[in-house]
Amino acid sequence: MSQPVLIKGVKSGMVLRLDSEMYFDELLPLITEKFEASASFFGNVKVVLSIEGRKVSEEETSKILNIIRDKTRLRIVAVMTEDKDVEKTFDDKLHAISAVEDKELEKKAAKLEAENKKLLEELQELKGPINGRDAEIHIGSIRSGQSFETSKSLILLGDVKAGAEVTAGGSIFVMGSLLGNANAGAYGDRSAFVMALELDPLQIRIADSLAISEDQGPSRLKGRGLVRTKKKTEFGPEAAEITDGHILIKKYDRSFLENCKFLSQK
Amino acid sequence: MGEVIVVTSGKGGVGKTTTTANIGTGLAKLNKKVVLVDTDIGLRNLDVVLGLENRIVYNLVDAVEGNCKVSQALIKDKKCDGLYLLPAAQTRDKDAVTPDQMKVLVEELRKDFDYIILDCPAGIEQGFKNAIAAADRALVVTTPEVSAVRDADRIIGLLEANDIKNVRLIVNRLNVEMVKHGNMMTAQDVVEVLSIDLIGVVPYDEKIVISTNTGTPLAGDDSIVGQAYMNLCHRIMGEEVEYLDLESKKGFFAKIGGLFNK
Repeated sequence: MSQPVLIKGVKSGMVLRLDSEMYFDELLPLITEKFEASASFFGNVKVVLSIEGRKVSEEETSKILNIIRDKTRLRIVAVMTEDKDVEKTFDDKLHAISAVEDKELEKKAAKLEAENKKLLEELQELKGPINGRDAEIHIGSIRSGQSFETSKSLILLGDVKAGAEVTAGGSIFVMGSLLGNANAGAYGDRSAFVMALELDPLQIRIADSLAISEDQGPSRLKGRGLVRTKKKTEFGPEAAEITDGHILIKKYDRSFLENCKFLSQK
Repeated sequence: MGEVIVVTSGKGGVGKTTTTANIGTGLAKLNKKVVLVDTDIGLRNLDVVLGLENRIVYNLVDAVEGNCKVSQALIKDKKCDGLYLLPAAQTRDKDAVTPDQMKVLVEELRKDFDYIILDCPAGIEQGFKNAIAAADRALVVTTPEVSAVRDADRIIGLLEANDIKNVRLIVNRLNVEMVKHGNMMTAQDVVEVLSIDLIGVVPYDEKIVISTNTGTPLAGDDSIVGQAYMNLCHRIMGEEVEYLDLESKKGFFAKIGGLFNK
């Protein structure tokens, strides 16, 4: 006998072909093995199970169905056997089970959808304009190779060194020197701005706009402080903001604060 | 109870090993008992710079693996009493020891030495991690150049992240002429960028190249460089020493030379 237990998938169902001569109890472990081995192949589908090769009793059919339920994720909705009576018994039972399973799945789906909706709403909130008054305060400098991220606005009491980067969903206020990279409006808020006591960054991003610092030409090598493009005391506090589609650097003073879009949002 | 100092930089070739050799020499001349530990396994140089390469029998890895006692691996300096070297292995690499093993080794050394100075390899990988594991404080060496300063900043960040709070800066190879022509940062510029306290400035001097090649550290001799290193040693010991005016010594002769050139 080639294979005492054979499982075959056909168009609308599954055929379980059993050896006609062996004792059923001998077949059981083999059936278990077969279904265990192919569980991942079948997945979570509704199938009609056809038992062929021998007559099976109600009890035996039950045992087979239990194995399938245990070892696989298949959902048997009807059984076809050589005994029409056995078939009928299981028809109703399986129908009922199937109906209950369907309901469970619907409930789960609804729950997931609700959760999904909630997450999407939260994401929308984040993407939208950040309440300018919602800020995180970080004490200490950010050194080369380090980074700091927040979904709100950021008030940094320290420096951002060259090679470091800070990212904020809102605006960035560096109470020190900004020498590295700053990314404001990280979720798309183009009204966000970057302010620093000494604004001398390598790159500034606001939402999807990017601005880079001047290249250091030969004339820059004269004078001290090669690492800096400007001296600290020269310019005072400045802010970078998108105006007419470009990131521009402005003096950070009362007039800036009064005209600034970001802070005038509720 | 000894103090454990790691000499690190991030960038390679800025002067960690030279500084370590000279600090060791200087402190020993000030009657301290000092051991210099070369943690640059696989690329050891401290032995060469001290002129002790022909005396190596056992090394750091041998001591850590238990092939010898730590005392057997220590090499006494040719010239300075109180100065010892624990050399690195040359045939292994930096994965040969772990940070924990370094801690154990250093604890043993603490009993017998006033200062344990760890010469850290370049980089931020296993070698660096091993060297800083047992350190109480750090000396960050940098040259006044953009790339070196960038790496120094990274290293300082890593030291802070590893709870080493006592971090001081040594600005090495300061070229006074280049500074005058606006082609090099001053030590103060470097301090500003890195935002840590300065502990030493060593000028560029050909004599240093000669000294490392011949294996004769010059801390404590009467050249400007020798004095700069000695001042650094005093500051390491907690004393306040004014920084040398690196321009003035050259000033007189430069002026005379300038007159003739016109």
